[in-house]
Amino acid sequence: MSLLYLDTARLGQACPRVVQAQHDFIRLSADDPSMYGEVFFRDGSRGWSDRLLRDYPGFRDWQGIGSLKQQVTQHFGIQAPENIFLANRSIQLIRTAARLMFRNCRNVLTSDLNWPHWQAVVADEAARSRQRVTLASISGAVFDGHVSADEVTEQLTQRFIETDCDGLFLPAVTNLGVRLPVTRVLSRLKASGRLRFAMIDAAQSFCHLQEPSPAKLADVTITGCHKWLRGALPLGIAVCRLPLVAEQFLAILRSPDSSDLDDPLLRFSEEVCDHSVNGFMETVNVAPLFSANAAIRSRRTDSDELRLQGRRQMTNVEAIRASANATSWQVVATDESLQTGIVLMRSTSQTVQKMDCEEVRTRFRKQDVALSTYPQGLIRISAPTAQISDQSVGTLADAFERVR
Amino acid sequence: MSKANRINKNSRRAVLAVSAIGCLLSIAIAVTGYEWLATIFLGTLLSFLTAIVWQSRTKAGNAEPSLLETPFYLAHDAEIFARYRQLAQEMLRISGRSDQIYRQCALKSLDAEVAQIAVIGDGKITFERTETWRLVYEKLLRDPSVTTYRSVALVRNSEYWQDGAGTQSMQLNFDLISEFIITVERTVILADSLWPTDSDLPIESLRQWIHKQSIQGVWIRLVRESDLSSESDLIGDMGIYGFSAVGFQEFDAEHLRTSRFTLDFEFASVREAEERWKRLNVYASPYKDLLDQFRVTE
Repeated sequence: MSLLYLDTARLGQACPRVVQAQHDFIRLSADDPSMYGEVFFRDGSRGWSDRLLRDYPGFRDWQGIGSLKQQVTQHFGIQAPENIFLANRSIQLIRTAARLMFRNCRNVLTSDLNWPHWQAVVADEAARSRQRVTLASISGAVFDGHVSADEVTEQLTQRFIETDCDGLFLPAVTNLGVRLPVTRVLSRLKASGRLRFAMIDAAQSFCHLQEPSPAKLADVTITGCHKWLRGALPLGIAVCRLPLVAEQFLAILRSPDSSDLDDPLLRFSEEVCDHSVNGFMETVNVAPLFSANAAIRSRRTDSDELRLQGRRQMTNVEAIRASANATSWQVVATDESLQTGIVLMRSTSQTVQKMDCEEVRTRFRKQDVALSTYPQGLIRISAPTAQISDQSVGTLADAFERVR
Repeated sequence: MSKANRINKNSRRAVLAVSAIGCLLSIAIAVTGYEWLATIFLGTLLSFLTAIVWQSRTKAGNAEPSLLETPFYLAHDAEIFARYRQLAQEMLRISGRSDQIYRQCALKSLDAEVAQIAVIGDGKITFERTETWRLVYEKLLRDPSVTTYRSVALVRNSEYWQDGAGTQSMQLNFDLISEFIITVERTVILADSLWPTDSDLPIESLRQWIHKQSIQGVWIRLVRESDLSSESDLIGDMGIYGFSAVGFQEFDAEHLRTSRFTLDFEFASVREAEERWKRLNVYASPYKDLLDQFRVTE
């Protein structure tokens, strides 16, 4: 297949180990589904015979939910796997964390670069708790290309203090590829003594940046596995910095007033780790556990690997930008300090600007290029993490030339 | 002559003088025969009168009603008026008794009652040696106007608020947080014996009590009592119920049972309590930050 895949920010390509794990998961479901018992989810394939491991090699790396959590803790620099929560739906983790945040915070600062769906959930929780959300409008300045990370830090901290905020909800990398200086913002706000709770959206930074989140400063970091980790299946991960926050998180999940937060995998994974599985609970979709585990085991979260990947990616970004030269596509400029492996481009062609998003996407696909499209001729390109070939650059240049 | 009489006499003289001047002016204008001058004069006079009427009405609105007006003012408040009538009837009955010793005793008792009613009039409700204040506490916390409850707990006994009544009140806090009815912030002032200066955290039994609250969503801050020695007015048990009221709890010698609980509904008192709250929290540290700094040994 000659498709040039540049849409990891939406859905990453499954890595080979994930494919193997899913393949064996389905095979075992056909051969002997009774293997999927509580012990298997707690201890993994550790007690399996050599023959079983030979027959289902995709499970060699599966050491149980606790082990998977342990792997995640290493990546986020957190000590206890009990501070990690896994769920079928990230949105449930966001809602739980937001509920926790608004128990302590009166006014939470967010930005107009937050992912709209998660932003809406946070606003909903604020309304429910009769607390406030303050929006910092930074997108205009960021996409003018005139503000640096330092200036964004200044704007956000200024707004936080002026509007008397005590909570923060920001993405580490926005869905449009802007790297927000969350570490600097959090350091400054922590020092001011006003910050009670910080929640970081790491959906686009996990396995994209070497440091997905300032986990030592943020109270809760939330991410997923289907983008840059390339785990194929959505699996939400919440990382609580402190055991206290994890306990609060659990208390909310177990509260009788929080039935709307129910997530089968979240409940199941906690019960497995607590040795308290309810035999009468609904059947849970456990497949994302195996794919996420396989992706993590294939060094997708390895720090050194991510550093190298980052370098390759920035080289690719340059090649992608250069391939649009002398075409009707222009890079949406942001300051270098805010850039990531995601490139935004806009068509100067009136025809493309008036086109439906799906139409633009289809046209690029016909040129063997997959990317995200937005209204008014805006496209999002996720630079590959492996070095891009000259042939691929040529394919992309042709696509830019022909979609106009 | 009383001051009020002197003021009334002066007012009457001023009215007579102004009327006389106005009368002379209107005669003078009539003599000139100019119609436009008469119109201006009448217009000015009308405006002047309107201003005087408006001013007198405003004054009447601000002033307290006279003794005779009082029942008419109270009549619009059926609940208070019923009590007013009862009080008046009992006063008539007391007045009807002629025994001098009874009268002296009755007057003394009445003075005490009047003093108590004056306190209620000031917006304060006091509960002496009883835990029944917790019923009002629940009503306040459940009131739709109260969204935030800020509490200061002065802990001098490791059993503080851990008896049946205290546990129930605490559970109420947790339930209301869970139901999104209120948010609770609590600053705990701990006697040094319960949080020794060389310890990172309070003694374990109290830490557990604090920890449980924190888990249930109460934002907890801690401060040692000795840290407030220079601002002793901050040392006390207090609860601020939104903008509605502030409550002060006083304890018995063992610092376990309530000796007095005073609820103050005066807005100025609530504001004053807020100022105290802000000053107190300058000295206090969030429990979460303390946990962040110091590892808890299980």
